[in-house]
Amino acid sequence: MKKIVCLFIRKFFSYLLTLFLLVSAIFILLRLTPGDPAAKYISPELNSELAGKVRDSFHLNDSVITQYAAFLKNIITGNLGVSYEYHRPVINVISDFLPFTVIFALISFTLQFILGINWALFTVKMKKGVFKKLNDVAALAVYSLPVFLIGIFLIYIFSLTFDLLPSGDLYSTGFDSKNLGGKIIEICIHSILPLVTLSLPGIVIFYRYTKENIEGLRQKNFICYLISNGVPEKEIFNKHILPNILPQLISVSTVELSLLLSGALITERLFNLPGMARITVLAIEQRDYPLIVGTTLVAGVFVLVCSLAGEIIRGLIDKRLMREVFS
Amino acid sequence: MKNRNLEIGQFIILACILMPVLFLLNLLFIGYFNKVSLETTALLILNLSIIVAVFLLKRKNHFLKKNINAASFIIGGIIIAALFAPLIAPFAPDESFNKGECRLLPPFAKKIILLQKENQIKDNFFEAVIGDSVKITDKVLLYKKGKIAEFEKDQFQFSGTEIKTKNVFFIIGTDEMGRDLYSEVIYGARLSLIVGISSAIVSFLIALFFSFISMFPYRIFDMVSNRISEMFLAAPSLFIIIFAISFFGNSLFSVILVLGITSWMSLYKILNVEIKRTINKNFIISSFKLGISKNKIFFNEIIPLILPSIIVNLIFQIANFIIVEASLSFLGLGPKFDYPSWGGILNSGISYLSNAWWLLLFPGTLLFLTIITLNAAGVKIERNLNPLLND
Repeated sequence: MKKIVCLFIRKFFSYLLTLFLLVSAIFILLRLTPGDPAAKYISPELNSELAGKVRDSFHLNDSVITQYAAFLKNIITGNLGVSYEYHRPVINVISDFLPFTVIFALISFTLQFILGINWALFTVKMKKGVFKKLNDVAALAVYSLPVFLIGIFLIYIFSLTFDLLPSGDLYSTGFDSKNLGGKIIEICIHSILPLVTLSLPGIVIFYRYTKENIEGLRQKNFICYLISNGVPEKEIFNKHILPNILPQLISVSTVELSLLLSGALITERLFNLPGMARITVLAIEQRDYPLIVGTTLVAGVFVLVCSLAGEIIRGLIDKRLMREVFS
Repeated sequence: MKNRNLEIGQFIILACILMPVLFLLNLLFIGYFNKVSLETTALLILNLSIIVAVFLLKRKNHFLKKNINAASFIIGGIIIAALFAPLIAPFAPDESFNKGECRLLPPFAKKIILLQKENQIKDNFFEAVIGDSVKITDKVLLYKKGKIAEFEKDQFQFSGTEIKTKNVFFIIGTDEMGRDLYSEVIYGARLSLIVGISSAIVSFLIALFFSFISMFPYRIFDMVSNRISEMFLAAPSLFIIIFAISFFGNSLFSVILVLGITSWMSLYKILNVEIKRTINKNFIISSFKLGISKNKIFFNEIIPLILPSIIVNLIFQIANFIIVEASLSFLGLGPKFDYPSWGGILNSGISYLSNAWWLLLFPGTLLFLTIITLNAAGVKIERNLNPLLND
């Protein structure tokens, strides 16, 4: 237990350092970019004195180090400023859009994890032959499909050709007049296509990792030894192979989950969903600096938290890892 | 027993010899050969020659002696199509025909087009003569200063100049600007390949630089380069790419640079681990002790050992970069160029999803084929190089 706490503290500080580097990189990028953020708020009719005041209110004339210190202080105190575009505090804007992304990401992640691993376990137990190969080919094909092609294909088939499911948005017009059950059903129907689009690539990634790891393990000496000693295959599989692939699976899932949490850009754009990706792209397009910093920070924190959690869980499961860390 | 089939190695050498020759042919014989296609041809040849050089660096290329299969055939086909695009494509990719008549034509559409020469017909400005049902011998619709007017056959003799017409055949239709989709798709392959290969090269160079730094004897260098790579891994890459591109402009060069900068981490990790592992092996240490020169050890022992895993990773990287480039173009942030890439065509095609399926089908299929063959080739090479993965 003491070791786990020690590992946690150690990793926590190293991730904190990474976060600091990320924030500094954002600051440098923002300073390097051409274009004046204050220019939008100064019309040519404004007299020069007032324009100067507006410009001063952005603190653009201060020295770089002062700006950097103020920037860091604001981020640590949680004051991310006011969004230029929404005219509201950045934290409020983000908290409006974050719940959707988090819920959507978690549902999609659960789907990916369960379906991908079960598919892999199903295929591994199959006999060598055409069907097994067919699974591999299908996985490779889906893996090679860009997300937007999957989305377009699904929209073309299910919305345009057969007119079964809506092609975008989270709800259609007349949503407010429905009762609670109707609302839930409508949101469910609207989120089928985005969920499938979002989950298919992840399912394939989980499938490939699980299958490759299992097949790699089967070649190992200790498995061969167990087989030659006559241990039943089911026991080998449950007691020796599955525990051994868990660490790898956890590291894949942390990467997947962090990618999903930081916003599925193309899916949200294609289906016009109100998520983090939408405000990020809007902020970047409109040069809304406070919102850019806020969204990037949220995405970075998600990635770091996910990988921190992944490492802790891996440490708990695999005692060898602890020995490696503390050696 | 000698293998009579064409081997991949021979194929590459053949392509090496043919490339400059066909480049000169391009220069000499293509009528509309302009600065744009010169630029892209030069870029593509540079990229491909770097890849060939990497392959030739390895002394014993066992997998080059494999026969050509479907995957390498498709990749080869796409590379050749991209290289000799001016020879294969019937039109220039940015040549748009009359929008009124040639807009969103389905595959296998035939049209008759007036060849206009501005200096000959100055007073009467004609847009085009078009119509697949109208025969040129009867009546012809002319767009004259915005108005449609009918002209008899003998009226063709216009102020002493003869009007020439031309039959055009759009094999897979046209897009919303009246451009031939077939030419566009072939030139789009050029853009996709250039972006994919050069970003892979950029990311390889950055990874090489950082792994070189981490080889320094002090531990601090190793730690710093590891932290930096972790920082890049922590940032969501697609956001960073969009962030950088929207601020620094989306020229071809900046897109390539940004893609390379945001995804060198996996290559760096592989290089770092592999080099450290190889250097500590007994045979390397004993060759050092025997007094063999460092250069000789590096080129004869270390590079052949670490090259396979790098090549596999580079192939996957290229496939990934092609996907990312298409996604960027799909979001409208792709490389700004005279003609669209595959993602750009798809982006414009999504607005016409219900009535112009060919705008999505053909570039989408080609994109998919390119990526799947690259991935399949990568998996195959990985299997060949790593005997533990074999069944």
